[in-house]
Amino acid sequence: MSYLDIANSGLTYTLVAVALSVMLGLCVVFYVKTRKRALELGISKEVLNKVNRSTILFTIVPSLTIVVGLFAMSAMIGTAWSWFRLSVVGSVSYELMAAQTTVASLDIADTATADGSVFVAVMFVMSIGALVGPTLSAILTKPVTQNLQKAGAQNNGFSPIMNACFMLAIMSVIIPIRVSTGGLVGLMVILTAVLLSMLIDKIASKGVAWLGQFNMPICLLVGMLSSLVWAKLLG
Amino acid sequence: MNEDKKIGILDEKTYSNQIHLIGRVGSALLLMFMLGIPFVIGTVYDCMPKFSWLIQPSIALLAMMGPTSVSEVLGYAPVLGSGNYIAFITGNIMNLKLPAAISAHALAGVQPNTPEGDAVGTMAIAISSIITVIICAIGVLVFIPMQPILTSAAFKTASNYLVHALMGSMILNTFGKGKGKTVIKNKLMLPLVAIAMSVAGVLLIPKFSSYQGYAMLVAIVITIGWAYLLYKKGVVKVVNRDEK
Repeated sequence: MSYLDIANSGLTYTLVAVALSVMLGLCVVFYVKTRKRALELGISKEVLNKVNRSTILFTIVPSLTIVVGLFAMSAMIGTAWSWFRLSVVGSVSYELMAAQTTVASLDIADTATADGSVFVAVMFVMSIGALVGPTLSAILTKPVTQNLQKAGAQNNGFSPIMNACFMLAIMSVIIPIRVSTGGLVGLMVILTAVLLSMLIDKIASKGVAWLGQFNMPICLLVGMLSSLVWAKLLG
Repeated sequence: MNEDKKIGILDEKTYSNQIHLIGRVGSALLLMFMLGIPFVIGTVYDCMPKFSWLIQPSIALLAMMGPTSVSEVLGYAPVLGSGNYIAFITGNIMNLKLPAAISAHALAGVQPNTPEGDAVGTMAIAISSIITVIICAIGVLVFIPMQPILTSAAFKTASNYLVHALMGSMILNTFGKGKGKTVIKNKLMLPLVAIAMSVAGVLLIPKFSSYQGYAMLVAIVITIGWAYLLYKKGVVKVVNRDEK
């Protein structure tokens, strides 16, 4: 069988659908377990529902961009395997690079005319290259989080400050990098989203509390849309 | 009182062990699928590639991705907590899982690296992952009709700036005072050294973005050290929200 025959075969779709169903089940287990735990810890149902609504709304747009990646990848590795890779583990840039690295190392000019074994090789290499993250996460997450939580729970004035430091440090690294990669348009998009989030926060604190839970989805959407204007003005 | 506290700690430990076990089993299942699917297809269609075909590209990718993955797992764990498992299973950490956790912490008024922050953040990561899997499945089903919209020039431009818009919408949650009963006085002093380091990295090191994972780890250590110094000098401290 050829590369594309196998890539778009019923078996490939079936295996991917089974794997994704299991992974979806895992996410549901995590959701149920953590929601129950949050309630036990005294966080109200209303707050958790607010978190859910906000998360669902702001997840939609980035997920659509993942679907765009699906289009880009399906030409090279078929729809089924792209679907699997983008639903779990992967990002478009890594997946395309992994597929291209394999095809190039085998000196294949056109995957459409390649043998089925090339497709299986691509699948294996994409998987092997992405094994490190989930494997290390499985090994290290428990000791790291449990030890840090123990340190953070010590009854001293520094603990809450230390807990805030993690996110501050991550964002302090990411923001200058994103500003440098997005140019002036990227900077203006960031500023648009920041100013809008401050405005929404202000309005929410003046009695329109429900607006607060939609702060992030609104800023994400308006920020992205503003890129069209900024690109036209500055691009 | 002490007895109650002891029971509470044991309960937290039991929950923690359970959630980490689920995470580890899930990660093992993912690894099984990642390698099992190509193995089954290669066997059923009798087209297993030669082992030598896999060595060179796999080593190249592992060499490139391995060190970054190590620093990312260590860097994200304090913020994502047990959500680290699903985050690394479902991917798209920077553009989905991290913002989901930060937003959840802010909405619930909890801190990362606490039992409450862990539960709420992981719940948000789980629901975000569920939605992404569902949307991708819908995308596969309506592949053809959606193509003109999702491949339009406007959508392409807007999606290029997705992470920038996300960063912008996360800044207030990260650097602001938050919604808790207490606030950190002079909080904005805390990230100064890390920001200076990152700006210097961007200006002085070519392709600094490819070292993001390492930079995050270094920044976490530096920020905690700097914060401790400021705390000891009395510059930063935790105060009640209404305290000036």
